[in-house]
Amino acid sequence: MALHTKTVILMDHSQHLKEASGIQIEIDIGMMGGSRLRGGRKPEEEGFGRGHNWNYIPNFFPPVMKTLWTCAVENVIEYARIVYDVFADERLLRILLCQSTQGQTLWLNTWESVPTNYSGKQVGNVNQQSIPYITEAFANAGQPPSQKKQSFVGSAAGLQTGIKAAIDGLSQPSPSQIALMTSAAASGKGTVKPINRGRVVCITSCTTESIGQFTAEDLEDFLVTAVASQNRIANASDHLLPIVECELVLLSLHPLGKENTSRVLSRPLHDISNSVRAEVYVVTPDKLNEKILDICTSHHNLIVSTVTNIPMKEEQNAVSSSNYDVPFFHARMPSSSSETRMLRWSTPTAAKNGSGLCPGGVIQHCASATRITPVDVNSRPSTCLSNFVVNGRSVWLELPSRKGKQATHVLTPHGAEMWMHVMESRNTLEDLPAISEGVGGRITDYRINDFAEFIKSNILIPYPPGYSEHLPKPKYEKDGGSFVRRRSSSIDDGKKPVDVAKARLLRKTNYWPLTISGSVLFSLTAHIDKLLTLVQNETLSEMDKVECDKMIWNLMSLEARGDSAPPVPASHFRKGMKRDDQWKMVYGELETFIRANLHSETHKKVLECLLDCRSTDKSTTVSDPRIQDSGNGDKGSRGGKEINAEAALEEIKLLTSTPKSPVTDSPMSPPMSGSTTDVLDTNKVCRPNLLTLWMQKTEKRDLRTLTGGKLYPHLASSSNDQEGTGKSSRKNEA
Amino acid sequence: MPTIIVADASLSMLRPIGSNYGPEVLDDDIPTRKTLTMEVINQFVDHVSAHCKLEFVALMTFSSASVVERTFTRDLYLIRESVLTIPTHDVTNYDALLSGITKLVSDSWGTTVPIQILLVTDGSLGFGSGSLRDVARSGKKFPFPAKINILSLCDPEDKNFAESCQMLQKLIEVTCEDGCIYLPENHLNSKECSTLVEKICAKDYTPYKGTVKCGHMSSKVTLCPPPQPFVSKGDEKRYDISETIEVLGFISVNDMASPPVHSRHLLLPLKSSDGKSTGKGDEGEDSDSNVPNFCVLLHGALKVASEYYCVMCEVGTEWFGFIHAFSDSKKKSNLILSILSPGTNVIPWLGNMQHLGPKEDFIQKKTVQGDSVAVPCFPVKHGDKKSYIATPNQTTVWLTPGGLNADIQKLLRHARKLPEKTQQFYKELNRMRRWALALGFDSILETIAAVLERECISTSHPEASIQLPPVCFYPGSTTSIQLITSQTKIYSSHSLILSCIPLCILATPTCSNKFTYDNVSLSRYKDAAF
Repeated sequence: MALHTKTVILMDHSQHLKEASGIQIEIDIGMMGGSRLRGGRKPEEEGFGRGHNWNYIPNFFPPVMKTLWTCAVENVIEYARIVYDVFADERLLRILLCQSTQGQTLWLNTWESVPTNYSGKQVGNVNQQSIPYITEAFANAGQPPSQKKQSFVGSAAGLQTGIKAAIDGLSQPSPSQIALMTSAAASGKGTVKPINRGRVVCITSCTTESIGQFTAEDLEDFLVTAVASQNRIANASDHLLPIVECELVLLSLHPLGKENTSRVLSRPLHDISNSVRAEVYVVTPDKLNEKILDICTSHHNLIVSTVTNIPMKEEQNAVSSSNYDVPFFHARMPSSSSETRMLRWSTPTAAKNGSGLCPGGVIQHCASATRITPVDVNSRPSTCLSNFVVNGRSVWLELPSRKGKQATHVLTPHGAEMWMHVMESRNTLEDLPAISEGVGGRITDYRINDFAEFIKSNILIPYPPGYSEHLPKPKYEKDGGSFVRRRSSSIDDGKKPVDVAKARLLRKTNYWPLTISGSVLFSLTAHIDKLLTLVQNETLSEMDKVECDKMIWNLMSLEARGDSAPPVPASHFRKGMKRDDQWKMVYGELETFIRANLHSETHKKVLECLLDCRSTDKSTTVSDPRIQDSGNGDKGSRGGKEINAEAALEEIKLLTSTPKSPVTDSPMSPPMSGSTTDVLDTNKVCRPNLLTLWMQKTEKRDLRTLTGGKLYPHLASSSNDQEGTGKSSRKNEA
Repeated sequence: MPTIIVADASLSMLRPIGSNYGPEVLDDDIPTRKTLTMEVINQFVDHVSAHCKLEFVALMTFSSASVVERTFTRDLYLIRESVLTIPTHDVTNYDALLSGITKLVSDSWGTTVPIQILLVTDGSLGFGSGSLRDVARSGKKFPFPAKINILSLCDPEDKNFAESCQMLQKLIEVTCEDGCIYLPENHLNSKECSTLVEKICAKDYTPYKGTVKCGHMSSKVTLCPPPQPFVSKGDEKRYDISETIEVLGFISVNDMASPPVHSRHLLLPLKSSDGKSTGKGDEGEDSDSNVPNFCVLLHGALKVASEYYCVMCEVGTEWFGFIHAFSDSKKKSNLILSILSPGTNVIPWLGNMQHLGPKEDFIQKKTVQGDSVAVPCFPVKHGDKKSYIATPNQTTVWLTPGGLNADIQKLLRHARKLPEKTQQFYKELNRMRRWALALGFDSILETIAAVLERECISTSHPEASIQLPPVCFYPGSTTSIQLITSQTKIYSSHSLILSCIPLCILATPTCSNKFTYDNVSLSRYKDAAF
């Protein structure tokens, strides 16, 4: 925690601050002319009578005067505005009022972002670390009271109470510190107290009337004692944090011309003890804003840069445009030098929604980025620029340098915030070897379009915080399959969306040949596309299953239609390969594919379906794909060899990565139940059409349910061993 | 990252090393610190050219002035050539060195590229202004991220040894806060120095070897330049790059929006060392380019996808990065891994990285649950409206008289255009009232009332004169209540405010969303105003 993350602003809320500032504000209601005519009424319409009346009604309002309190409040709010705009929730402010005459203190907000009442309950939904909340709190506190009963007249006791309370506030942990402490406690490291630093900005009026004979040194000494005693309390407590480093800024505010009544003298930052520093300023209201901005920029390491030469259309004359400059605050970036920069308006992008930041879909090499906020938020050029940017446009800015113009800075919106990105002018990534020159670079038949689809189906989105808590534990942990990897440590892991994403990728890539020639199956997409996508899902509904079965029968019927070869480019097969063998290859790969994706019991049923269908076709039962593949490979010409090598590789990968998966546990050649084989054997003679297949299938299913006999009992039993599949198989029995 | 080798070219470098050479050794054969320097640099360059081929290296010498012997190049042969001609000049001046480095780097790379500096010196301090003592006290930080490794050819028996070490350490702290001093342990000789170079190379110039993994697909890769571990300055927490770069999913380039990154690396696939290419391996290097590689597929797909995407991945514990396709002007396209700063919440518009999850799963689960929750999208929004956003309410700033008068004039403009501008009139009126109450600036409320009253009296336009009175003076009339309730955002819930409002024109909201009015009659109001 750096010094700037926590700041307490301590404000004297006593009658000393109720004094008039001494600065008159003339009221100017902007009589005639522009503003009037712009109103849209025709001059002749309001014309004569109106003008006539002006002569009789005094055009003058007595000037108004702010109190010291008003000046202090609006400057504190300005400080807060800049900090919240530039740092959002990274830097926190707390405002503390103290009635130096009463010795009472009042916190306007806490470190929390959620609004709470005194008992810690949430009230409303305005962020406590925001301008609306603070403004409302100021309104509730009201002006300093003007009553005269003073219990602490002429002593600094009231202010001391304030300082003590401010130190106490600093030692209370911020939400991020609490998070650190709880995560440390959760991981069994015991109580870990994060390093805690902070600043106190104190606005008061140090006159003889208010603090009596006290001096700034007395207050500083008191601060050191207060920090020391608070640290003693904090060390003994389990929720308070000791303050390692603390800085006090004492602003003594006096009406114009009365700064000589101050009991304290301005003094730059100086050490009081080795952990406490202080600075003192005597200011008048006319200099207060300047001083507060000074303090704010130095506390938060801000820089004012200016966008120059912004062309803006005049309201009254939309044809011509003039150039304006807009100065803005931003955090100092690691690379930028200290001085203010002039950044010339260069290229506003026509595209909306941030795409201007990545022209042509190319990620730019950004060195740093910071939120920005206009110095003068309500000036016309400022509002014009912020509207332009917040509505989705990006603007490239040039930094004039001795090497000529270079557009290196970009103003851009990120979700209704203005940001400035600084791009690297040059980096080491130049003249690099192309990826095509390296490993795998010569291959031209990668399944690029399929992978582009894969990318689209694996897009990440920001899950809402707390999303995972509402959900039942992700299913994939229960499903067994190939997800043994994370099972041991899954309780917490499974909750994070990022782990859901990893699991999804694992599931989707169980069988994913890299090249087109590496797979017959994925060249058949036109015929079995649904099967290929559905099987990769972690669960299959009954409808999905039927859909998959249909696809398999579809394939069978294609084959059954007679003499056609599998509808894929001939390049997949070696010359002279028999049609039957070609089909065999297709089924072999299909089986490999489904076996790689046995995520649930329903998946197994799809596999069953395939195996059943195949056994109608071939008298031999389905052999182990590995054996089958290697058999083919031995004979093979180039094409066949590659495919089989690929399939075998996938197999090996699967086997090595998932030693316990049902793929290996179950025998590859399941025995058929006698009755089914008989039925199917009769069909072997004449090739079945789709209808007969469907009939058999349904019949077979009925048979099974009737007898209660189970096909592949070993499959179920082996999966019962697995914690994962146990549940779903039980469900099936029920 | 680019490396500058800096060789000390002061006269003291010509001192011979050690005294343990017998009289039979010719003076010319006794190695000097300069010959050691040349050995050391050559050894270093050999290592870089063997293991970090894409590294840029520059060679500088310094004495009373600094000279760029060879600017940044990947052709290390040129560096070797320049090493042979390292000159020898006069005094040691670190001022000259630091400004020389700053100029070289700013001219070549600007201020954003991190630089490694290898300083080879004999550890002599120099005298007066520009001496090591002087610079260690008053030196400036480099305007670019840098790391200095100092190889000090200082004999441990030298009487300046301790001070020299201390000052060099200070030099590191003053200029870049990152780096290390390498010192011979026993005696200054060629062998010791060679060990030191090995140490430096092992620490900072070891090529990265790892795996990019996307589910079950993977590829061995190397990263150039090799990624460095990150030590956070606040809590000394150390983050190391994992050997597995695990893909999490994909994010469109526009959503990613060119975030600031910690470092960038070229991602090059390596041939897999396992026996994947059995039966083909005998074809030598050619076979590598014929083995399908996941990275090449990924690169191709990133290039053809209808929208541009990048790959979000995890590069370490609580450390993330993204891979994207990149092509330079020469049309050579490749993959770049950009590593973000360590942590889970480093890019505000992407939100917490651990909350990134697959879109399809989200939709699926929500559909199953029957919820019709909108699918969240980037950028992740952060709570509060910024002051520069004018809706629903413009930020009020009355720090200058101009700001205050602009608001009064705006209110007046709306007042003159009643009833069309009723909504805007009340919105402005309430905004000003709210602000005045927050600041405890009661006197301005009286002025606003006076201004509006004057407008009422002065106006001769029939429509306006009809509309203004109910608004200003008879707030109890139903029309005005409706107007206010339908337009006003409730501000405060405290009766305290009631007492602050001196005038009837300022409708005061209460907690129950009803409005109560101070029943001050017109006459009293006039008394108060004048």
